[in-house]
Amino acid sequence: MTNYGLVIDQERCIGCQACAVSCKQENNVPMGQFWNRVLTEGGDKIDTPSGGYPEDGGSGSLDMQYQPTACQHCENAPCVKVCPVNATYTRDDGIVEIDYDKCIGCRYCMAACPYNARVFNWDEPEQMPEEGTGDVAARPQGVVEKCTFCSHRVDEGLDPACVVNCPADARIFGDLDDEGSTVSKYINEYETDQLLEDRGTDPKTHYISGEMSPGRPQTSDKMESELDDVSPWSDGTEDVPSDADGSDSSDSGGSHHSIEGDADPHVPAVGSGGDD
Amino acid sequence: MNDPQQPRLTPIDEWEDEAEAMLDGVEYDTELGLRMARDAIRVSNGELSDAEFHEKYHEEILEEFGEDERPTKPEGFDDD
Amino acid sequence: MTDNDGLYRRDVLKAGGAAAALGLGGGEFLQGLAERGDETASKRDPSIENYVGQNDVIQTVCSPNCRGKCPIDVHVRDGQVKKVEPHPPEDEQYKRACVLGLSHTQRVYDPTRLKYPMKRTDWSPDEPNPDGRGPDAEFERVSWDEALDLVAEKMQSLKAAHGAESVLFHEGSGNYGQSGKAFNRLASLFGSTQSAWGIDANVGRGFNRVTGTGFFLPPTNEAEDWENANTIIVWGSDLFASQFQMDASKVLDAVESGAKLVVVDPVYTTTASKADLWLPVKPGKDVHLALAMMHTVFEDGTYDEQFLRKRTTGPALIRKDTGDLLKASDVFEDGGENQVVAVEQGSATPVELEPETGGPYALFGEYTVDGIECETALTRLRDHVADYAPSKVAAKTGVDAENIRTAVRWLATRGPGGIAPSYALGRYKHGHIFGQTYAMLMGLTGDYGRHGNIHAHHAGGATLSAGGWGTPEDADPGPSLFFPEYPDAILDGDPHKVRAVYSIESNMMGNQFPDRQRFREAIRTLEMYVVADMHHTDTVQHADIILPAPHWFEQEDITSSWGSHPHISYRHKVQEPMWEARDDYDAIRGLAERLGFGDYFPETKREMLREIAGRDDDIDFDTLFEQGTQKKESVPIVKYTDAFPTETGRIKMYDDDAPSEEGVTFDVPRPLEDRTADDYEKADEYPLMFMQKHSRFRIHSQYEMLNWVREVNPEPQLDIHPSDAKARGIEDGEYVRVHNDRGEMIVKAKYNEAFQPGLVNTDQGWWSRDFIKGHHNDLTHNEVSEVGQTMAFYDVRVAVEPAPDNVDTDTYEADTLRGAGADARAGGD
Repeated sequence: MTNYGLVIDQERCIGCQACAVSCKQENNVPMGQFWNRVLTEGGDKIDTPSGGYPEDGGSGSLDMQYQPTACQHCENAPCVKVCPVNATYTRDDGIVEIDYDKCIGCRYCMAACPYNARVFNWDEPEQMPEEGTGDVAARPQGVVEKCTFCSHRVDEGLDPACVVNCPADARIFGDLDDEGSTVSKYINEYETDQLLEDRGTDPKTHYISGEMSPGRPQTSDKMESELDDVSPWSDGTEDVPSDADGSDSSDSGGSHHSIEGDADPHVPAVGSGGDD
Repeated sequence: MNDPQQPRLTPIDEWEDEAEAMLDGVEYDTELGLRMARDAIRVSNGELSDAEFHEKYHEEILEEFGEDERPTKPEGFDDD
Repeated sequence: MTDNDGLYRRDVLKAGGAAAALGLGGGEFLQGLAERGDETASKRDPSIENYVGQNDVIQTVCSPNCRGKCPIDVHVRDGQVKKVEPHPPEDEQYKRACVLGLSHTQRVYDPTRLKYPMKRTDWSPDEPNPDGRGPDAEFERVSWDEALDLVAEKMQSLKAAHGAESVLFHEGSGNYGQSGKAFNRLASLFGSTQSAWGIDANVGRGFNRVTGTGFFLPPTNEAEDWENANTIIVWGSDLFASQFQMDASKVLDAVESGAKLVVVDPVYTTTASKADLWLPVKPGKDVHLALAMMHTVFEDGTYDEQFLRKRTTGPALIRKDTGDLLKASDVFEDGGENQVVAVEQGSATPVELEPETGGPYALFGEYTVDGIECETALTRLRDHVADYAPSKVAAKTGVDAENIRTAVRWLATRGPGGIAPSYALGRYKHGHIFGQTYAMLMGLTGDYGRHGNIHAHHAGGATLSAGGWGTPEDADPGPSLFFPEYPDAILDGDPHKVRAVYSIESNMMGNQFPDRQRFREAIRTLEMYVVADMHHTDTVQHADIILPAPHWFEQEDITSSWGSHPHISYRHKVQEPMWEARDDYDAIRGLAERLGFGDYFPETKREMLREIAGRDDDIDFDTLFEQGTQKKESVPIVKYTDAFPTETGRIKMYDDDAPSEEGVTFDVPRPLEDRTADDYEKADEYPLMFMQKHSRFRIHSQYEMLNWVREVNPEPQLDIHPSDAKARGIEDGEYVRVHNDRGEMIVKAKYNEAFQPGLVNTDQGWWSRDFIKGHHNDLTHNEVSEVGQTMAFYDVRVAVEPAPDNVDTDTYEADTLRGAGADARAGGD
């Protein structure tokens, strides 16, 4: 079975908001609403750290990290259990979705979601520009909406918009049931957390924090499973993760640090420097 | 609710207030929504089975919504 | 979706059940299903109407003055721009985009877009009524022909009466295409005054004194090579938030591969939050800090001897009597007058130093050659930095001595690495000294010309070589004015009187230049101010003639220069210009025809682009046009591999022809400060340093109107350390008055532990309409250093106090969930 999941490497995330905005764009999310928000773990406000400024000139105690947060697509999704009309449901591929035609706007799902991931269209949704953006139709007033893992893209073999548009290669989407997928490998190899694990929701969004991963550089908007080659790393980039499975080391990035002096491993001769 | 610029994951002990605020003004039973939300987490945690959850709220749901289409319905559960 | 006013959807559902729900939108859905065919439809979600695959996709490129120059795909459906996605360029590893470029759908249709040519109602060539300019000016719609006729008439009459240099052609950085070259071409032919860059050219100038290269930031290895760095010292740059964020993966990959990331910054930035080591330097003390690093390198003996001998003037001898470098002509009969001399170690035999040539030269010591007492340049430098031991500068710089040592030890001993400064250091008046200092520090560590070396916080990318198209051979170009010279020229005729300005691609004079009130005062005395822009900016509001420029998606062009990837890109037109917006090129050509220079301008922009591209041997116009991007193969990945373009072909470790200012000579790096100096006279009156950080939410003042971004970042704020705020009785989130002897602004205070006590910040790029009162550039000044000639935006002091009780803050305190709180000015009629 396919079971889609997302890995977000917080060590790589630079809080740039590209995922938040490209989500709004792709999904035609109304003004005033976010399906995907980049939270700052640190101070009380966005882009502020916790701790105190080091008055002694040392490294001090300041700390800040970003936590992009959207629907976690929980395995045991409380929102699904409480929906009296079965508007919120889990697809066969694990994506938690809302049938907007069924939704009656009771918001029981919002109360049940521990992640504040859902928004409600109190008013007639407004888009800017008025005609809307992206590749799905707007939802009506009176329904709850949220991240769909861009199921409309996934159905076409494309990665979610937030994944494609991350300039830090910090978001990786794929099949958690496929041991060879990058998401599965990273969950095995790196220290990953799920949010609010104590609530037993078993989110399919996993956060890497501690050791940085190589991310997943994307030169295509296709999902990993749609790429011609079995290995997601066979696209010729040098950012090959050196995992225990023994991926091809001849093209590995791991050896760069052995460059000495004027060694010139892969680059043509050089002309003069400046161009402005 | 949280600051829209910086929403937080709410600690469990503060969460009910927040959930109540979310349901405030809804035309359906706020108190039922709250109880169900609380128990849905217990289902996630494994403290409550789907079937128990379903049965516990079936009558109230029917009364409030006129239908109960929840996916928690156990096999052979008698709708009437 | 529902047109049942006041009736919630759930009510409808309750009443009518599922059938009613279908009536609200299900019809479209069913139709969509039928079109897609059953197989796909069965996979799809029942209530999500999906347009994937239904868009026309046009490849083009984003074009502001950031470093992205991101090739993008624009999706169009039903005649509307629906979304933007990155388009991998020819070299796919440079796929990129950022929060701003991804939000163009909002910019294209924003109400601030200018729609029609306009004229200030009370302006005419003969009676300019300059007092009518400003916030209350009113405009009337005119035709393009009328507008250009008026401009041409006024330019001709000014030329006849006062000379062509009385007209200034001012070009900003708001559109990275080739129209600027046409603008320069017309300026050259007409003989007008032209603009010379006076922003961000400080650090590069200092670096240039040492290496012969650099004006803005110096060249650095292309981003793809950064992964080879083992130590990256990011200095005064939040590169993950500004200018390099679209290449963030390159720095992150280096870190992931084991590079040490050091950040030197008074602010705990996003970049600092990723660092292995953060040095919280006090504003303006960067040169002290870099000298302390040199001290450590000398003390540890970790300088690169081989590099110093082969590629620097470290071994060159300095005459103790004159302070000049000893020349070959001083020593050898047929020796060159510019050739410097070293001695061989041991024998002390003098030898001429050739570029790129190593040898057993003595690096240190005092020698007498032909009776002339000398010492090596490196000895002079070592003795100079003897006063700057880390322990000695720790208090002054605010940085722990051991951390200073650790940072430079990583750079000196962990293999290739580099220093990545930003323009921020050049926003202090004497910032050029930092450029000189770090250029020499990296000379000591030998970090030039190798993989993994870094010299600036963004790469230079590729530039189209237009071979002087902007200055035809038979033209007689007029003089140039540096930006900081404008007000004196306009107001006082110093060095010559400017009476009219034609401005393109710039919101500088009304918004982004420092000491804004003085620039506005200058604008108000002009006889004619012509402004071409995409939006109704503060600058446009001060114009007499307004020329509406199309959005980038509505004008084809070639985007080059300062992209941090080595491609030239073709900016294909996504849609025709909206309303009566017209390409700057067409306006320039129309003006040229009226001024008698029409023959110099090809009839269409595409012909001009083809002509210019034809001058670059690396670029084939048709290939570029078809591919959208073309990698410029001559762009070197690794820089500084050949002889340095200095007199000696070497890095100068001593400058015997150094400039000086305020009594300080820069033969070796000597700290000189302005407002940050410990004894600055008005430090008590204005105790807080004020910077205007470049955030991820602006490129200068561009993108101010993006509603999505305004939902995240709604209003200008003052980042202030809680201790500074509390000492002034300022609560978090309270409005404050920030002021000095030039002006004031009122903004909301944001307690932020990331900011050093004594330093406050408002992110730059807000327009007047965003402030409760004033503007951040009402506080900045226009005083520049003689040597740096660069506006010193951060070298500013302010006082801060709670705002008066009677300020009207409704703009932001009303419910503004929908983003930009302020009214949009109408874009036309």
